[in-house]
Amino acid sequence: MNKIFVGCCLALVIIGILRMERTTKETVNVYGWYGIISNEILKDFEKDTGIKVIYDVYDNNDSLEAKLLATNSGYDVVFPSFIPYAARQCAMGVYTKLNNTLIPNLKNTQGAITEKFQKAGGDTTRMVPMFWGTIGIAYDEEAVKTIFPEAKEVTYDMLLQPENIKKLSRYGVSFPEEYIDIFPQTAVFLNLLDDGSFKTPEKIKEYVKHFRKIRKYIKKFSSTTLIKDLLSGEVIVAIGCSDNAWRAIQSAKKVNKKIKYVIPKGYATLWIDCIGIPEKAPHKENAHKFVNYLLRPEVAAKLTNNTGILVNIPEAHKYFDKEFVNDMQVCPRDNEMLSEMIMGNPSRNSDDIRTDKMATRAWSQIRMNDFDYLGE
Amino acid sequence: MLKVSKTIIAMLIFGYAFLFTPILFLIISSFSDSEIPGNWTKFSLRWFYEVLEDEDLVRAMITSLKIAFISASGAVILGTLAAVATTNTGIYFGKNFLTNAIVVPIVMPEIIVGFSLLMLFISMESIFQFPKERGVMTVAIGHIMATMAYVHMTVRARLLSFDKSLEEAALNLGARPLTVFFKIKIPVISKAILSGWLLAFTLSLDDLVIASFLTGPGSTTLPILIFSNVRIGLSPAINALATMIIGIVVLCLIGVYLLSKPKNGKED
Repeated sequence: MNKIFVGCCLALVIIGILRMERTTKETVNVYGWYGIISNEILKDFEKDTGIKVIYDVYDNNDSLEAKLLATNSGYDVVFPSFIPYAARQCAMGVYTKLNNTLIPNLKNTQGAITEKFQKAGGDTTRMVPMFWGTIGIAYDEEAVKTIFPEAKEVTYDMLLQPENIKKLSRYGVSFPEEYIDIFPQTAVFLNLLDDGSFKTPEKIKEYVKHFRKIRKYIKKFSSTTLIKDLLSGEVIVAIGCSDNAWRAIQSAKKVNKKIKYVIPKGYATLWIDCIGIPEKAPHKENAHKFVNYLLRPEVAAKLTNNTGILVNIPEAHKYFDKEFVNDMQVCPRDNEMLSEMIMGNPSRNSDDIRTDKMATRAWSQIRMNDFDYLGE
Repeated sequence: MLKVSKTIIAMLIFGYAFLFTPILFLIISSFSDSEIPGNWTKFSLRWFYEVLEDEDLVRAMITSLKIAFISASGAVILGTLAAVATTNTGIYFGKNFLTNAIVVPIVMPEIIVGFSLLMLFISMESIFQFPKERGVMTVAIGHIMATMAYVHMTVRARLLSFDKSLEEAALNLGARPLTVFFKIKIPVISKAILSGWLLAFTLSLDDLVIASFLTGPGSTTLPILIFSNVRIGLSPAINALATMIIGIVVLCLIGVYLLSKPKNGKED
């Protein structure tokens, strides 16, 4: 009987290994964030082209980068964040040159966001600036009203001015996890923003000095748990991205809460996520087809309606949910608003990388509330 | 009736509470209708339906179970053989080294195991063109490597207390070493093998670090999916999924208990 048991185990292992080696029909391997591309879209694409999409998920850009840099990742289409990841990976030659004849829909992406992307040094021949959003403030409207009855909306003045945030701190304020989502606004607040980078050594010192005053009023640093934090009442104000805020607004309705999202004028920061095809992608042609499919206005609009992440396709706007389009804070449209948005510059040389490291260190000091060592 | 002091009962209650309160809380909240995990509104099974309808979750669970099954089986075979080798009374070259070296994966941080395997696979790919792509198989290999040591430990412990005279008697009566292995040793250590298998299965199901290094297209495991899910905001469906897994585990444990219950009050 035991012989049979061992035999069964062996057979199953062998079957398992053999089954993995089987080749299937035409496929494209996509590696992206959880939930940005719904199964419905993947199925429609398969129906349309006969190509099966194998969709895998990662939880942060670093996992993606590790896979991409470890040579042949096996993936055909990936969605890295532009700064600093995609910019850096592109400079390392991770992405292949896009074949424009295979992606006729590439013309749909022209617009203010693409201009911003190019101005920040984005290479549109290798990456498509596809997804974007803003960093702003999401808050529980009623709760904030009880503390600041006169205020129309939450401003960075409330969050960065020590005496103001002190009042909010009793109910919880959350800040983003990464410095890139808060240092630009701090620079504006401290009147430090000029044409240059927001992270020069002098400026970083100023930020640290400022955060030293308000650190004790910040309840947590988190970018991913915004929805849960606001809905459960753990915090009443959270700085975070527009797509999370939009989903929080939607979920809040179901539990009779009112959450609002604002990008205060002059403080709006922009983030962009790209589409790239790795140099060693095993199914390059299918990858181009998939990218072309995603760039169709009606498909792209579905992405936005599912997630709240904006797509850089002006024509898709007419397919957006009405409610979404009407919220100018979540879905900013006019060109003036877009051109005003702050966007960092990717690091280009060793000096930039040094200041990057300094900013990272400064931010972790702030987060850990350990200001003893104010690095040079 | 045994007299038990109040202190002991209190300690017992505290101990169980410490172990099971979080799990109990999770199970209760999985039956809640609320959108927010951990918030009770009213009883509902909707999150269980949602788990079953969520293709990604189901696919990731199947991938995870497949990897766990393959790696547990592989680890049991290799671990048992290793245990037999290290408890062998004969003296051969490198025996002490083997006995100690086999424990290394336990003390080695997972992140190093994962990273070193990734490096190995990358160089193997460029030299032998194998493995062509990372996926279920590479993750399973990583898990076999990591969990084999645990199986080795459980089986070795059983083999050390194994009565050598049984083996000698069989050999004396003309049984070949292979027959002795299958007819004498395997039945005696079968429970250790089974618990080693379950241990390896659980460890593999649970692993995030090694898997995140070694996955490739089409092999997102459940822990990776749950971690990625956090960005969108954890849905109570995860609670329901956890409850289902706990249910399966409890059923398995009851099964194992019933199987291993001594017959006629005799332990083997």
